Amino acid sequence: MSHFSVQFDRVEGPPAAPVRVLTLRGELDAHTAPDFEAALQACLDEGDARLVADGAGLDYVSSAGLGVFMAFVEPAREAGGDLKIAALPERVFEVFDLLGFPTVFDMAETVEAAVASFAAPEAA
Amino acid sequence: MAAPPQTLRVRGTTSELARVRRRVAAWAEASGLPEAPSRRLQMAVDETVANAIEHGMEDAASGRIVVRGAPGRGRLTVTVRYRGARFDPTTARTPAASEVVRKHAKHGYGLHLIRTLVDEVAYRWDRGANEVRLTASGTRTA
Repeated sequence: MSHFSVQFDRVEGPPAAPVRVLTLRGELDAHTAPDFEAALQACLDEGDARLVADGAGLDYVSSAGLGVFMAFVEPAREAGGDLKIAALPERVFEVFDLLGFPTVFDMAETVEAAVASFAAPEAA
Repeated sequence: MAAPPQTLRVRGTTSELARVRRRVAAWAEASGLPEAPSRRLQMAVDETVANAIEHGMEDAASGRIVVRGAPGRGRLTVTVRYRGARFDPTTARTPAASEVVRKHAKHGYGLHLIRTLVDEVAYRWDRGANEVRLTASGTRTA
């Protein structure tokens, strides 16, 4: 039984360059974390480094899931983007907060705010 | 509603974790534990079982992890028992959470969560098996 899913959406501007929104649903634990990891890796492989994880549908995140967020924040930034986290329910945010993740991640209350916070790419 | 069986025996695979969390939730319900301590205990048990599966078990393929619940009034103790390398999560050395986060490390959060999320964590080594005991308490206000 699968109790986690990741769905991709490419959101076109503004800002002008596309932002990939990963819609997370269900329970992100040691069993399902590899699915999330594969989804993030696929984004980077496809040249998309401006990423927003939409956590509104997340019921649970364990340390394995937290580790995946952490593993991809630097690669995304090194590729000129970022991995932002949006719309986490309070019960899930609590764990991110407990470990100090807001010091590393840009966390937004809504997906729209996270997408909008990506600066428009510099004009060539 | 009949009380859920107090012993759950699971295989050493991460696909069992959701089942473990559900059972802890049922025990918490039977204990009258409020939602927040129930959720935190589910997570601490999940982390303990995941640790056993990924690092500690002698033979994850054929081994079993025994999870036991002892519901009380406004209090729940869950014991996780497995055979494998001796590992005491209450004393194991681990860098500070702030350090792990600063390094953007992929691993190293589980032990902090186990130690932080519940009221009590106890460990004993018993006849070749690790036994981790996690206790949460709280009273429903509603």
